[in-house]
Amino acid sequence: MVGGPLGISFANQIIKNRTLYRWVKPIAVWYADLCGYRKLGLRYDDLICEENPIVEKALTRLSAKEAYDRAWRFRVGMHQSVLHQDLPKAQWLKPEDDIRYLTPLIKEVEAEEAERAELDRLEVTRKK
Amino acid sequence: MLVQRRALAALRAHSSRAYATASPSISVFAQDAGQPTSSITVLVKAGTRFEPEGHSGIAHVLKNFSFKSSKERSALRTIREAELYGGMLSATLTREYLALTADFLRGDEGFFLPLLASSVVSPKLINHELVELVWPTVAIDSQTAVTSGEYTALELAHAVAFRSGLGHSLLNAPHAHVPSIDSVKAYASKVFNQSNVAVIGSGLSQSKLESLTGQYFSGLPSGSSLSSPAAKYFGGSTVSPSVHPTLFIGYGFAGAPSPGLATLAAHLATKPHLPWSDGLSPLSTLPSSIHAESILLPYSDATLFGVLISAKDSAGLKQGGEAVAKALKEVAAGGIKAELVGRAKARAKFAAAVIEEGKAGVIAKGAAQFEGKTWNNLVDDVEKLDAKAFGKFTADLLKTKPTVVALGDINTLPHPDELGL
Repeated sequence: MVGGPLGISFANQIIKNRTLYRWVKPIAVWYADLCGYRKLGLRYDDLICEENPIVEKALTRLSAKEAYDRAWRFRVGMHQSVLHQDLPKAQWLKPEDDIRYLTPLIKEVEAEEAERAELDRLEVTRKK
Repeated sequence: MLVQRRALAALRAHSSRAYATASPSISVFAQDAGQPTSSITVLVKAGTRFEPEGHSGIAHVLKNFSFKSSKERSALRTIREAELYGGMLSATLTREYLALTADFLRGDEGFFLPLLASSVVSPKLINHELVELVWPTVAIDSQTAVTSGEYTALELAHAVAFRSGLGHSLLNAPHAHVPSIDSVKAYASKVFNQSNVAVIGSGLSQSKLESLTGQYFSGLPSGSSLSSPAAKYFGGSTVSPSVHPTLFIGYGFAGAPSPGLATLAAHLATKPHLPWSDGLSPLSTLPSSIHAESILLPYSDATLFGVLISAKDSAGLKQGGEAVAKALKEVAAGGIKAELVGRAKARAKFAAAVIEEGKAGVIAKGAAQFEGKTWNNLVDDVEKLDAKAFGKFTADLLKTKPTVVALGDINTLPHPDELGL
């Protein structure tokens, strides 16, 4: 995938520009809600493709509680998918609970890989 | 000397920044013999004897956490950069100290001291490093160690001789669970403080080491030095099943290192100093299937002395044990020739002098300064010991309770009374 497991994002540039941020934010909120994963009780980070060495490593670094909760959300989501039904509205994931629990770990693993690649390609020169 | 790309150059520029805070109150000791390599050891009073109750093995975990990620550099960068400089990083754990050592070419202290400092001042102690990097090595260390009869016998001997404190096991228990990262952090925050750390260097000047220490260790929090109850010798005997028949017969001695024990260990030492010679030790006449070697383990306030015997079966252990008991009684009765006493003294003096000469001697002197004691030269003490005093010392030692540990076939193992002790 282009841009690593997290894909390409312009979020940082948009957040830096206050005017642009004020325009884009409502659209982003509307779009995230439209995706429908919250109606199955899932979080945005649950949708990241995990068949990838970086994400696999990040997943091993989840705390025991986070790993359990993730598996639980998957089971609930799977069950609702089989039933072709959304969860009752009261059980939808609230936007404030849509926490990016996996993204920081993926970025950490990516940084480690980048550091390793940098050190592997290091050119050592002798001091004059 | 080496210079890396811009990224590394920037890092070095950052790491050579001067700190404005006052020089920390860390014990610094340096000795320069003009050798082509230098070595810096950060000595931390974090050995197993200081382990808090219910956290046995935590010192071993903290030792394997050395040189992992710190605020300044990641674990990988630490290793790669040290390799670029041709340096060697090592961590050693004893019952009293955790020693982080860097050996490097003369003149590279400006890189290696900050590296050592970052491991003590700002370690990150991350949970995933514990699980991915540290714990597997801890588990391998302990699982390999317990397959050695020698290690197991000495561990049991310490436990029997000193019970708590020095009796704590050196390594994590082989089937223990991973400790929580919080308990590692708690132990680290207790031991990494200014009163509990000493910086010892060989191959660089005292003033250089002091200025670098003042610069890079200023971030270390002040605190109190760790203390444990003074070592007390108990003695006793134990047997344990093992596939490696091993017997330890020894005596402990609370107090400063004793010239008598050093001479006794040298008298019984079988490892010849000359090729093609069996040596004159009373244990050299044992058959070649029975291997006996004397052990002398000095600590700051106690010493464990003994003979470690390994053989093919319990009968061999019994034969070796009887020989040791006989040799000790012979010395106690003053029945050995004056030239044999002279030989033992010469060997003990040589062993002490060799230790004093090398890096171990510099560390021992630095540790003595750290503990607020004066460095005691064992060579002079052994010189003063005469044959009569040596016999009297051994006779007094034999009156105390011996420490006997036997490993092997539990049904046939020799017990102290069967060995004539």
